[in-house]
Amino acid sequence: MIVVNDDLLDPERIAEPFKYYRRLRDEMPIHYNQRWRGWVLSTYRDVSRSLHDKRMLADTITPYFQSRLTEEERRQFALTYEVLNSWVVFLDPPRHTRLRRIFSKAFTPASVQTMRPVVHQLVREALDSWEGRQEIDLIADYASRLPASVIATVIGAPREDLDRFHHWADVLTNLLHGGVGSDMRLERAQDVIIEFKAYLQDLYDDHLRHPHDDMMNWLMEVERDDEELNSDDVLYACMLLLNAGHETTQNLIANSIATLIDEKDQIDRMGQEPTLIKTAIEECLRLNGPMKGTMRIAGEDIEIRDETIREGDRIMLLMASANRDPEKFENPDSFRIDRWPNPHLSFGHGIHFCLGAPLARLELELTLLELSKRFRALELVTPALYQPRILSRSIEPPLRLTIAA
Amino acid sequence: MALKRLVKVEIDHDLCVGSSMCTGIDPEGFKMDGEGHAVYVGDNIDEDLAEEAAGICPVAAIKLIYED
Repeated sequence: MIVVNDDLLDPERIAEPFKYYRRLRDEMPIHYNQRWRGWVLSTYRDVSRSLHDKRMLADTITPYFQSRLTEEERRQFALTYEVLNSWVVFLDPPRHTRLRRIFSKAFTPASVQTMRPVVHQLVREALDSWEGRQEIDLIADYASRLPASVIATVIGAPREDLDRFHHWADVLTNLLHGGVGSDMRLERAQDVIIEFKAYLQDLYDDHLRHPHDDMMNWLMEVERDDEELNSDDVLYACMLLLNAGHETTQNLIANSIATLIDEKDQIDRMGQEPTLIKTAIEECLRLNGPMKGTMRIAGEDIEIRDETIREGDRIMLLMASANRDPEKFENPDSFRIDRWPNPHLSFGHGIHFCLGAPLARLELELTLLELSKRFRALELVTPALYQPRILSRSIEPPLRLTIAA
Repeated sequence: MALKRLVKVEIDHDLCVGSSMCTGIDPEGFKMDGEGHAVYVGDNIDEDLAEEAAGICPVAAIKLIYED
């Protein structure tokens, strides 16, 4: 058994994790990281197989609440547990199977295309605020705002409440991503959940009186037809949409633009052949996607290569490493705007494949389209710096760009 | 409108991400191979289920081919 004590938050590994991943794939594709207290898998084959492995469980929440909190804390944070334990991202079959099928209908590529005009309008409005300026902060002035605006609008929240959604999204993101963490963070998370739930309950009641054509209404119809669902399930699902769609999409937009700015020749090609925008998005996802890894818990003893992962052990699946595995991708470190097929694992694979993937792709596509129409050149003022996060790849704000119309 | 018969169900393995939505909806028709991709194995195509599976596929990997 290979055991290491590597610091995954080491500044060099945060700035440029890919060299480290190459060493992992070459020298210790499966190993135990004592500091992180779990197994780390890094090749395409192992990560892909693990994402499809039914023995690797996605419910990382229940073990946390059971083993790290006292009985009193469990009572105190019962609502937080109830909410997180209803989110499909943290559910395993059979509960996962039923709920996932319900929500999937709202996020198929075809249903997401019906949101295209609404998303396009929000993209235009967000970019209108750049007019007449020479320099912007891509994150504060765009990437951190668009995803929450899209989710709030799709759910059916009134426009004047958008700022409140931005606030909840920011707080929930800081509190929940990268592990649940300290009790203070849990307390603050629960306060936000209580406030957000009360808001959504009002929105729900308003929808009862005045049905709208939006996702809240659609979820309410599903709830009416399904004995096992209740109104809380609808409210918690809306919370999941905001939380899941916010930071990941923000990172997708910022990381992709930071990547594309370095590929000037290829961008010029995209200007001449607009169909390349779709393959360009996949290549950005592969090389610099918003999530470096995802976590699982072994539901039983699992043998991989010559190692035995014990029931209950934590496992980190490094998609960002799998995406640069030369066994799967030719010239894995180079950006090829027309790379196809591009079976990257940035949205995961298997039953937890990102529900919001079509919406995230749509937001990025319309962003790139509008940017190419409005601005001749975008330049980074200073290089992108990445935040010290273990699982997500997130640029530290501000990300200053000079813009020329 | 004359309805055309569904004669073939194809899965694009470059797109398939193994979400198992199709195998859940139509377990007789769709199966997962060892690599986490769906394959269509149904002898007699159940049109309604195949269409439902194609509609819910998160990556639109299921192509339905109707007779001319």
